[in-house]
Amino acid sequence: MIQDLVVYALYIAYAIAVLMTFGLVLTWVERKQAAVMSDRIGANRAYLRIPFTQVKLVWWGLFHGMADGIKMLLKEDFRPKPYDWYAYMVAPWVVFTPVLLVFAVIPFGGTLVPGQLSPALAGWFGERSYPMQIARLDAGLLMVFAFGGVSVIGAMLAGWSSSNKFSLLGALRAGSQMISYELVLALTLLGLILIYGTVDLTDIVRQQSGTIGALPAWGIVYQPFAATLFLAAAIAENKRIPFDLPEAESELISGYFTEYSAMKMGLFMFAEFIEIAIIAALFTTLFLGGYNLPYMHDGGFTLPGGREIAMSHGAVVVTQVVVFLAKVFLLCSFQILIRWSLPRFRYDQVLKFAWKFMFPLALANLIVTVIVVWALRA
Amino acid sequence: MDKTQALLVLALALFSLGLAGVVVRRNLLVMLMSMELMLNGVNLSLVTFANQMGAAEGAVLVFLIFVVAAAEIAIAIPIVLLLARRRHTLDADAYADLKG
Amino acid sequence: MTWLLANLETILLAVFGVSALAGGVLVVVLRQPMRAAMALISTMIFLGGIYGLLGVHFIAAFQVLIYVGAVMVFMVYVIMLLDPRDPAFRRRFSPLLFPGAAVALGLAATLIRGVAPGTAPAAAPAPARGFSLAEFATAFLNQYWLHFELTSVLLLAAVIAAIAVIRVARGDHG
Repeated sequence: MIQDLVVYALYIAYAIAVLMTFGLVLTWVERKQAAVMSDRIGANRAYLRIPFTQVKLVWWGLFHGMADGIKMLLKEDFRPKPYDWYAYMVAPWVVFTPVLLVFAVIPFGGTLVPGQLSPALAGWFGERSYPMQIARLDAGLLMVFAFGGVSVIGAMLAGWSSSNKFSLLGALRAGSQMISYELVLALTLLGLILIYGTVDLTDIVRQQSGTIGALPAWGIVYQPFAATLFLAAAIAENKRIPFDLPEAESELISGYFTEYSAMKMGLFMFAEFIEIAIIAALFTTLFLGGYNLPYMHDGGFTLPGGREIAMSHGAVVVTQVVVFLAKVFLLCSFQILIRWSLPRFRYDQVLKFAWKFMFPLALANLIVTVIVVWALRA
Repeated sequence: MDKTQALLVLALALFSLGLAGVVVRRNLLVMLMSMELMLNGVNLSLVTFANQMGAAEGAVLVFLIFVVAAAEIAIAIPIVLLLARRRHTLDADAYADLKG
Repeated sequence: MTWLLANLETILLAVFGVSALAGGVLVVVLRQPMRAAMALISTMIFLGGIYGLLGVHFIAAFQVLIYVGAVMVFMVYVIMLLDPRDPAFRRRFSPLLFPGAAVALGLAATLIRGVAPGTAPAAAPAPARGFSLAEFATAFLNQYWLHFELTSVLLLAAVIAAIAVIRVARGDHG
């Protein structure tokens, strides 16, 4: 019992640490990647000076993330006269919390058997094994959708409770956009659920661990079209460019979080960056094989020639965790690439794109998947 | 009082609160929300019975009630919107045309 | 500590139950509709937590997904759009306050006395357990397929009615 508590507390600490680190690092990646893409140097003014010397550490602008965080904490917490102070206070948390909670159902590694890690732990843990997932639920993907739906309310409350017409406009846009793209998101995944026959994310990752021919049996090989639709819908759900009308900088000042400053604003921005990581983690789990590498299993590698590379349990666990983080980081970079390449949609274009373009395409994908699955099983 | 009884008491309390809300409040939207509270009380009692009896029928009926509640709200709120647009108020007493 | 861990389910059930009830009371009592909506959202989330504790995780997911994610979003949307200077805010309760409250109390007392008479109930025919999604899906699509089809017809009717309402709304001030 206590052993279970220790392991799960460790998982929760890992999840929070990873998500917060991703949130901070992604602010730096966004700036630096944008700079590299536009042939600039990027922000490199923030530095740390080693005390008692004149040595200034710039480190390619990494400290700008820290400077942003400190600025957010120390700024004046300006309080306008909101329509409804309770909604104003609660809204950033309603946006921030579900984003963190989605990570509870994502498997970030295989199975952890602490007894095989070292003989000292074997005495205490015995033979227990823990799947590396905070909550092993048989309805994992449904939980993801459920939590995604809760942040809509936070965005709308934020815009409404600041007594500001621009914020209200931003809130209305945010609400409509998020609901439309949530529907498309769920539809794109139905084909995948049909192929894998489960909504349990651990099972989905496990079923992606083989190979078909020369390719790994990842979701993106079975459903490439759904993968692109999913990524587009998820970026729209996160209100990133090209879908960032609710917070359009040049039109609505700051959209639904205009009247927020300091830490509450920090919560909104942080929630958006952490959601980039969450979308990347979901895409990895569903379409890119999660923590799996091709030819890898719980005991090491089994290469196609018949050669076996055996690895200790600790090495396997570390490899799986690192592979997962690497895939998530690649997807985050890809989303930032999209953000700095595309212009912004107009608002009616955003909604038309959802209902008249992506929704029929997702349905068509589902129908084709159903026909193919039925034909192959008959 | 075991778990089932306690949950049923909660479900019935929610149902009665919802009923009180519909009767007692003036604002049309709050009346709609109290109706949703009643539906939630019923859902809780169904899930409690499904859990106690080990029957999946309770869970199925709960799912169908979710769908019906969503459809009901999808119609009730536009009706309230249209009414409010005519009379410019959400007060239920302004719609007493059939009275007396 | 071990007592806490051993009785964790009961403690959580009590906490979620009391919070859901408090949210329900707030829905009926608060003056501003937006705050009543927030109280209702909290009640629904706590009820979702109770469903999760009873082992039906997919029903908890559906509760949050459909009720909070769709129904309450719509409700919050509409409250945002309607005029906040409505006189219904100033007079909170209708003239039926005392008779209504008395009837609701009487109903609650009668029903609760019927359900929990103070004596322990007979043993349940099957042990209390949660369901997996697989069992639910099998029961749903094997025995209750007709209900499933009829609810999809109901949803179609709701969509058509919503479009009709939009037409009426456009005709009114268009």
